[in-house]
Amino acid sequence: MAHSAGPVRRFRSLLWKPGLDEEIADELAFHLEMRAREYAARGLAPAAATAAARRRFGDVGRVKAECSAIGGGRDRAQRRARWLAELGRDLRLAGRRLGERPGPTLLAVVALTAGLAGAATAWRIARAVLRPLPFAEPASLVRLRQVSPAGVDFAASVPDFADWRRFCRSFAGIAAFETAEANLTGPGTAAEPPERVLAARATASLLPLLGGQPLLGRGFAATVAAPGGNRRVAVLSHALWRRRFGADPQIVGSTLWLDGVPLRIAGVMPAGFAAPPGVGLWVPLVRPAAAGSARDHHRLEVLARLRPGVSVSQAAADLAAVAATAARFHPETNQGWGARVEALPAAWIGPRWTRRARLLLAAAALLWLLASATAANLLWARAAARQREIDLRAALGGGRGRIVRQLFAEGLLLALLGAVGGLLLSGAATAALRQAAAGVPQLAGLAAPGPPGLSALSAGRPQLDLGTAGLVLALALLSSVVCGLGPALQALRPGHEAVRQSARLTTRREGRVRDALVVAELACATTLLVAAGLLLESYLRLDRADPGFDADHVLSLRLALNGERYSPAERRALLRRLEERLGQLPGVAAAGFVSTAPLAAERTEEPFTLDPRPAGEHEFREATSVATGDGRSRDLAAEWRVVTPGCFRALGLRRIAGRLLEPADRDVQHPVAVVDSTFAGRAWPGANPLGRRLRRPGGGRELTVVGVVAPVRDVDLEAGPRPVLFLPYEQVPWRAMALVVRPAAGPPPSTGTGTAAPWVGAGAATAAGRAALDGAVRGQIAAVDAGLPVSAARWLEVARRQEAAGPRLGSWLVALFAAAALGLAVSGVYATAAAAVVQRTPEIAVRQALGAARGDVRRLVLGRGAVLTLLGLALGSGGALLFSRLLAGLLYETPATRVGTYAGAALLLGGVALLASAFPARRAAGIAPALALRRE
Amino acid sequence: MLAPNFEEANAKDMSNQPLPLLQGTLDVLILKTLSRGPRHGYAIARWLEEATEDALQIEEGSLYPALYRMERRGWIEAEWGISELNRKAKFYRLTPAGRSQLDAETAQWESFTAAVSKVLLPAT
Repeated sequence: MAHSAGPVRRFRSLLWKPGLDEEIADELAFHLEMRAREYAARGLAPAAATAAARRRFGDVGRVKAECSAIGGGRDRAQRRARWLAELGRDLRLAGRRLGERPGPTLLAVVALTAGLAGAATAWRIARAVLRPLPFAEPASLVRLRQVSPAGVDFAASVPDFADWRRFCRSFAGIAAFETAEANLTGPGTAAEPPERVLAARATASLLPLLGGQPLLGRGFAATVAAPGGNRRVAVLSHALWRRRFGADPQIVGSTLWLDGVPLRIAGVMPAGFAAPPGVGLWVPLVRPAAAGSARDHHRLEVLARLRPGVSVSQAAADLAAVAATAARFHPETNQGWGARVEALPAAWIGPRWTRRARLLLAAAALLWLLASATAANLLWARAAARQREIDLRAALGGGRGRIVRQLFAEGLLLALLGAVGGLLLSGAATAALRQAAAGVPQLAGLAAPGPPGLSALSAGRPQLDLGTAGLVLALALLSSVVCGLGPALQALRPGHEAVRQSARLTTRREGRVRDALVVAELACATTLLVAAGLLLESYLRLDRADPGFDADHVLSLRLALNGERYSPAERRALLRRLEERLGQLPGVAAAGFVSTAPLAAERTEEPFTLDPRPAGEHEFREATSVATGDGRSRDLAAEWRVVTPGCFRALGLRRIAGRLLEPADRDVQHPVAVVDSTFAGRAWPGANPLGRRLRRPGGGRELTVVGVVAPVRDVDLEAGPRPVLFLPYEQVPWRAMALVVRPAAGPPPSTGTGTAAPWVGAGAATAAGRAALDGAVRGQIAAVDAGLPVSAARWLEVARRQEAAGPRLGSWLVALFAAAALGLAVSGVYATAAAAVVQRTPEIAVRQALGAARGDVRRLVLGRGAVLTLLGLALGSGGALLFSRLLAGLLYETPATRVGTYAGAALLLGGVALLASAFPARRAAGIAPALALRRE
Repeated sequence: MLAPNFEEANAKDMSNQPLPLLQGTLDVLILKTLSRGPRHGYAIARWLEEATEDALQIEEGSLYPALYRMERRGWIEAEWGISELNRKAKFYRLTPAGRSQLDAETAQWESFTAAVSKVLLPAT
């Protein structure tokens, strides 16, 4: 600063500081007076001289105002500089004072570091999860679903979507899409190696609805809408454009082939625009053939934008009215069906991640509170130690302001140290966080690089962003204010009273506050321990849960046999040959095909009609109520899988009753199905499912149940079991299939035998074994059909681990918080007990001199610790009951009020806390009365 | 003198009409004045009048805002003291920052006038 005034001058300016306006007036008056003197000296009369001086000067009022405005800024700058200088002095002094007692200071800094690191980490995760969708005004976007009579959500059918679009008045825009994997070839000739991409067939309204402006070219809205317009167009996602097309700016107008169909590239979307997530390109949704547009063929995801002022519930009522009309006109398909409107951001993220983010924020808040209480405890102790000094100074007329500032400065210094530590710790945890977040789409924001300047600076180093740093600093400042407030108020009490009172009274009051702080710390720790216990138990149960299949070492590859190249008959023959060849591969236990690979997050739920009545009766279902049972056929929503016989062994599905699907199940006139026992239990509770019949939603021939397997949960492990149904590939030659291969168990063959199958047994867990198996399988596929596109390899056990990534991250983070909380709370118990022993040394000495046994003294100290601990545990258990509401929906087969968890947390914390007060108790018992009294 | 004083108020001689001050020149003139030692505002005004022999049209009122502005920038600092006539007055003094500012502006002025002179008054 330029105002490097010397100490003398600063001192004087403190003594005599005229107001700014007074100063200006004085200065100008001096000038005018001097000028008047000058004129008077030249012979003018005094009055004339003064008037002439004023005339000469100009408008005095204007000059005063101008100087006042400028001088105000000058004074503010000076005050700021002085304030900063004093703050710096206070902080340096605080540093010296804190350094005098390194133990408690270290504890407070560690506490704040842990608390703020927890807050930063939880905040980063929550922000990644809850970040706004990459669409224009995401808050007004909704997702529309059809709801079956049983209350299960379904995608919309084409005619129902058309009804919604035509009759609903609540929406400013509405769009539909369906996704499918497709083979991409081109650009250029169609001969280049094909690639599997996720394609969205979307209405022309989808991209405008989401506010997506193409980066290059145009969307296909204009092209498709024009009469006779070209519908063979595609819009590329930014990621696909960069990866496959080398970010070619001239790409618009060239041709690519999707499943062999040539499409003109109409545009490229900007980076980050992904609707749905992971989509590679968008193509127009062309009105499908009759079979695809039946009202019971649920295939379209529908998004809409609410009109301004329309709420979700109003839109839901509007949509329900349209659904009711559809049910009246099309009872055979829409009877009992409704519709659901849900806010898109919540639907996109999923309720579990939203809850988990909230839980982490709440847990971090608890840890932060605990850390603040620990720091406050230290400041109280310091204020108490200096109470005599404070009171004496006050009694002698000294300022209390300085003392209060000192206390606040100590709190501020602690908080700043904690903030730096917390940011470093959280930054250091970035790599671990990213690893935990790998493969979790909701946490994609964590892996995203920060602002370009920053990420370039810190490439390879822990990354911190300004938002997180700001939050941590704000929390640290809040901590320091809250911590310093109590001791400061204490110091501000009228002084004479305090001096008259003996130090004992003050000490007692201070002791009560510190006890309350310790109880608060223990309560926070209890709550966190209970939550961590519940989450860990839930996670371990999930980890051990039986999904009904064996994911270990199973390789999964997707391939697509599209209609242009393969007729149904050719598809059957091809898969039969492939399954045979792969099954004979050395070291392969089983190989098979399934329409939906396990744990690929694909829902295929459809309503199956149970025990349908003969076809002729179909039209009269509504009118007549005779026939079987209650006169109505029931629907059951179930996941369906088309499988080849080898799939059962490859996935390790377990037969419970009847038989599995066999190569002989080829007769399309007599279709069969295998159900899992969840399906059987819901469809025909208590009855034998074998031989029962059901019908697929599109109609067709009735299926007969020939076997039952153990419950299968291959979509979402955390959700409860859902009915699953298996259909034979020979009868339903589906196009997109996933290959699953299980390597043989047992020790790998010794190298001497010459069989090259390094993937056998333990070999399948090694990278080399996996690569070898992947290569061998691809070789077999290429040998049968070199042109068949194959996706990247997935290992089901990896997929299963990713499936549990959320629960794992949530439970381990909360467990870490709880461990930190346990340590801090117990340190707090120890510190207060030790301080109390020091303070009560004279009293204890007197007691001992009067004949108290050592055991009595020990009990005195221990008893106080026990009372505090019990209070903390009781409060904390109550808090845990409240807190466990946040756990709802996150616990897997674990009740939120599990007594064992509460008891375990209480025992752990109580035991360690008692142990912590046992050391001061022993020291108290060891006090030598004579020595202590003499010192006093 | 800084502006036509009352004695010359009726003078019509155009050749004696003072020149308008170039923008920002007042600051450097004040700095130059203060480089000879601390002075109060009136002394600065008088010194400028004498040094320029009233050739420049300096509005007396604009002197003080300029002083406050320069104090805020840290070029000068002020202190109350006792004037030669035993009266309380506010004295201004050059700070190190002000001194380097003066040097910089002087150098700039030199190169400026040299360049303009080269164009306007070519050596024939």
